[in-house]
Amino acid sequence: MPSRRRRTKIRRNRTDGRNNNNNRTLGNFTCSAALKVVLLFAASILVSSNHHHHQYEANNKGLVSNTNLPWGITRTTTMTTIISRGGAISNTTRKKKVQKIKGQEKKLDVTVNTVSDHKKNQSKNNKRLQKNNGSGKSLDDDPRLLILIRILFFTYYASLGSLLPYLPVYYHSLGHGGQIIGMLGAIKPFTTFLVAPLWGIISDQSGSPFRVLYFTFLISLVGQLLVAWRHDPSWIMSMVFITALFNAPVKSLLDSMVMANIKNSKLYGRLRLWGQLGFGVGSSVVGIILSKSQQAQQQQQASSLGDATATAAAAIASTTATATIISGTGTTMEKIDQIWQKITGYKLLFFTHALLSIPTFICMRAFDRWTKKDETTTARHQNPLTTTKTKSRSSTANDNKPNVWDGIRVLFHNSDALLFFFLVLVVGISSGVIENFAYVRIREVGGGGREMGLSRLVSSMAGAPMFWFSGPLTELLGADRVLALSLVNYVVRYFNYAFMKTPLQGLPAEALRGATFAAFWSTCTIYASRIAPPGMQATMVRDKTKNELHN
Amino acid sequence: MLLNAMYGGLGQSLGAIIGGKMQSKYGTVKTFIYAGIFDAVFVVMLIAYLSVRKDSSFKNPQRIVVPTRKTTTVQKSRLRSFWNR
Repeated sequence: MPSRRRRTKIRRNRTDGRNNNNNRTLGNFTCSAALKVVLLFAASILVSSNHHHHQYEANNKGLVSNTNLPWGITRTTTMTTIISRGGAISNTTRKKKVQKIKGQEKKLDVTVNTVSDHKKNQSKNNKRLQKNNGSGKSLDDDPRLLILIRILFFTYYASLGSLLPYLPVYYHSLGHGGQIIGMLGAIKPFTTFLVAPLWGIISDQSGSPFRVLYFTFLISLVGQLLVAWRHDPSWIMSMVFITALFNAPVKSLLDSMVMANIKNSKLYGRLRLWGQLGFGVGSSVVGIILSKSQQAQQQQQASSLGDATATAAAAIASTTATATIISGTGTTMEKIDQIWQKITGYKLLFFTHALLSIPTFICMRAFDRWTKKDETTTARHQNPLTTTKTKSRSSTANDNKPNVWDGIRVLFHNSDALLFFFLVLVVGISSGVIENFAYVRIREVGGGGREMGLSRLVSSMAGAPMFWFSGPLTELLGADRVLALSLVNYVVRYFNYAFMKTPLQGLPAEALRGATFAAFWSTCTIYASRIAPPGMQATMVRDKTKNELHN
Repeated sequence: MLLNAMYGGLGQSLGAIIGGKMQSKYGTVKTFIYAGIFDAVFVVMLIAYLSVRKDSSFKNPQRIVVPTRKTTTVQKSRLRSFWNR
């Protein structure tokens, strides 16, 4: 039976427990220890979750500066629990508890210091992040992801560079006239223009842009390779059409997925430069291979003409090798060599295109896996689609917004906008003429794969720095002068190609090509986005696919 | 989209067809010479036009304002009320 004084004390403790007047009952040390328990709890939460560091800072300020916590509920609950227990325990147990709590105090002091340091670090990081983007969101992209995107851009554009610039020359080598080459050159841009918005809708509806990307990439690759299967114009036209049909969304999807998965969107330009580099390197390397292949063919023809015995020997060797392949007794190297012998001339372009498409596809798969692995990235990737859908719904609901036709109608009443788009059309026509027949002209003056590849490399290298200087150039000159200068450049290039006597004399025109396009395209994009009516920037500047995924 | 349509869609496909027709008819050299002359004439006309016109918005582009449908409806109702008076 407890003594009277003790009974009174216990009763008072219980009453205090009910009334939550805890500080007076158990003394200051208990209070501070309990506070630090709460602190420890808060610190553990903060360490596990970086998202709430602002709230933590606010709370921690109160803790460090003032012992009277602003968290009334948490503190009261904890203290009530201790006090109610304290009323029921004996003095010895209480002393032990007090000693235990005192021991914990020291540990908690360390914890408080750690929390304080953590707070300082958090505030430092917070300042740094706010300095970066003003929103407190991390802008650091994973370096491995950036490397993957660089390789993806490089290989994809290298595969394009290994084939596209040489296609008109290939058609010319098959004996097709300018009219057929022109028609074949027109199929791709026109088909892309018509079907790209449809692919945008399909991509959005499917909800899986990567699947659409794989499908279109592989089908267009097969179509592109089948172009070399037969030489008659109807077959080539149908294959070019199928390729254009399926290849239309590939670039846009690739761009939009990269944009959706990088945190710092300003990096896009630098990443895309690897594509520019890949295109130049791909076309130049293929040009060299093509040139060597053509030289080898010429030497073979010369030797066969000069030495009948050698021809007969070569024929016998060829027959023996073919027989070996058929019988299956030859080694793998022999088989590869035989296949290699068959892939000569312009067919090498298609072979290289297919070869470079393999690492491109692997990079796409790796990129897909990366986005799936990273949950937050996936959320970032999926949100734009849902946001777009929501936006489109809200836009249909909101009659206050102008539609596309309203905007286009207004454009036709604005003389500057009308002139701008007419100039863009004229530059596009000039580009269509020159892109399809420049390399035909180089071939006419005796140029081979090496010269064409070198031309493309010079063009790509000249274009790269212009992406940096085009902004200040537009500011300095104005869009109209830049467009006029672009047309002047086309005039110079036309005359350069027309009057050149050797393939290398066309290099200034190629350098102008890269510089002109970079300056022209950047200027047009900036101008069109500035004059675009509210809500119509995407309609005027970007294609639908890119727009749908970028927002 | 409009920019891509004008440059990549209509422009390049028209250029390829026109260039192809010209190349098969006149040959590559003459095609380039004619195209160069056309562009040169066009540029001269453009420069003449821009030098005459001083108040263009190319240097300082301004956003085009589209009258919204709601505004049009309000305007119509105002017109109706005006005529009803």
